[in-house]
Amino acid sequence: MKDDLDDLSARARRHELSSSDSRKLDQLLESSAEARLWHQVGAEFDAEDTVQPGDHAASERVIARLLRDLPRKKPRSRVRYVALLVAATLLVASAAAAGVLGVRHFRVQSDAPVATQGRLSRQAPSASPLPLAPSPQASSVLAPEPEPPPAQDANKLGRLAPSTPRASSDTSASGPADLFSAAGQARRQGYTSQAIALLNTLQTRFPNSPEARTSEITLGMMQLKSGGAASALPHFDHYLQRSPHGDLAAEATWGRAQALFALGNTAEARRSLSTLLDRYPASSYASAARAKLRATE
Amino acid sequence: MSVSQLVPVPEARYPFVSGRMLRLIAGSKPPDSPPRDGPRDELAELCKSVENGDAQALRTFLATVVPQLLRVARRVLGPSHPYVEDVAHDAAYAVVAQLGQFRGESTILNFSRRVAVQTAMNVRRRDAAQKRARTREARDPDTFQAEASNPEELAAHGALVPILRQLLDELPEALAEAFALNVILGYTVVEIAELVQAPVETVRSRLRLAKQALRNRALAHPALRDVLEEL
Repeated sequence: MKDDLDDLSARARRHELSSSDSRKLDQLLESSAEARLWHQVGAEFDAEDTVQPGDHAASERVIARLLRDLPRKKPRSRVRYVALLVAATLLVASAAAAGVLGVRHFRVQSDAPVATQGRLSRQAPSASPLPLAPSPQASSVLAPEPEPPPAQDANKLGRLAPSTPRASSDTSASGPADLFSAAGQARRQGYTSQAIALLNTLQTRFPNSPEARTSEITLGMMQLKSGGAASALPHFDHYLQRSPHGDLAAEATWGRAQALFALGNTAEARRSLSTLLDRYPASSYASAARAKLRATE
Repeated sequence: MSVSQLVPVPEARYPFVSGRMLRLIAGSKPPDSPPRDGPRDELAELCKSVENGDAQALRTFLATVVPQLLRVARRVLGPSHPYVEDVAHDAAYAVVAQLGQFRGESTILNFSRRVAVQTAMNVRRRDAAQKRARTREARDPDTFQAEASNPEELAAHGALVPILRQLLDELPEALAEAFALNVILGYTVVEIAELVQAPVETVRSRLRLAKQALRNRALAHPALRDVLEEL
């Protein structure tokens, strides 16, 4: 699932996601702070890539330098090609005539025709290939390049920060994806209690949905950030019980360790970190887990 | 005779274009290999005219490609880097000089953008010490924690972007290129695989390793360690 982020994020930045892919990306971004980080960094690079005053002049300067620096080539004109073709034809004709005369007036050596053919075949490559006239397609690139979209704030890209929060009061008709998405919007806009309420509704009404499983991590991380380590711990445990090898098991194990450290249970927290390193040595949490283990020795 | 046979390798004259890059451009596949299935490359016909010495076609090609290369250079180097125009120039020069041996595995525009990424990264590597000092001076890592309290906020404020550019210089070339194409330019994994002629899983692996390595390097900054550990 993590691997999907590389593609989903890139396509979201180009506004190419379908609604199902959008939901998938939302889930990834909701469940992983690292996913949010890389997505936002990408959006930040996009935001920098705006048309600036002087861009046109800069392009013209570079083009002028290139036209000066690039070695000039003589164009292969059609006239030149025809002239070469005529010359080659004359050569063939004269060679043939010489061959006929040779048969009549001289003693012909048996390998003479072969030699003639060989000379012609060596000359053949000297004729240039038929030059291509500028194609109609070439003119299409002469059209002015469409202006890039105006610079957008990084937070506005990739569904990271919708402008208005959804109301949480009427969730009766919402599906799990809607509830999950609404909770994400509420969380991003700072309505933490509203987000928690929506995620709790999601877990109650759709306990077996993928969104409900993912929301365990989101709830746990939110509780953890707001200082509620004791409330956070059951969410991580619950996720690991239901999906011990799930896509977000590394996140859950890391969150569990963080909660345990906050609760003062250092020994159990260290065991969690060791488990994380054993099971997910290549995860992005591995280096932080090692650092934490060293720091708490 | 192709342009590549007429034009000497510009490495000595244009130091940002490395020999490795030119080998990548030239490749090993014979130029007469059959075209791939897939969308038609709009610039292909134009490039044939450039190859045949059509001055107007060359002007058109440069007018199409150079603005793109400037943008790539700016993304990789940073918007105010003094070598942005030089990178666009050297990348365009290398592309035109080697058009005759272009293998056609991707579109010419994507291929040109990749050449610009590599040219820009060469600049970054050769200029690394001076650039690092300048970046540290401009953005003292000790101030990041005071500016923002977590990595998402750092990213939202654009503070991580210059650090990432700086850390990118220290990555192995293949990892740095995969990261630049995906995160900086926004190519998908499949597109990168096509562009760099590597299996999709290899590209995924490079991206994973690059992000992990960048994270590890960021953790070496004492002021950043605490906030990044919160991920």
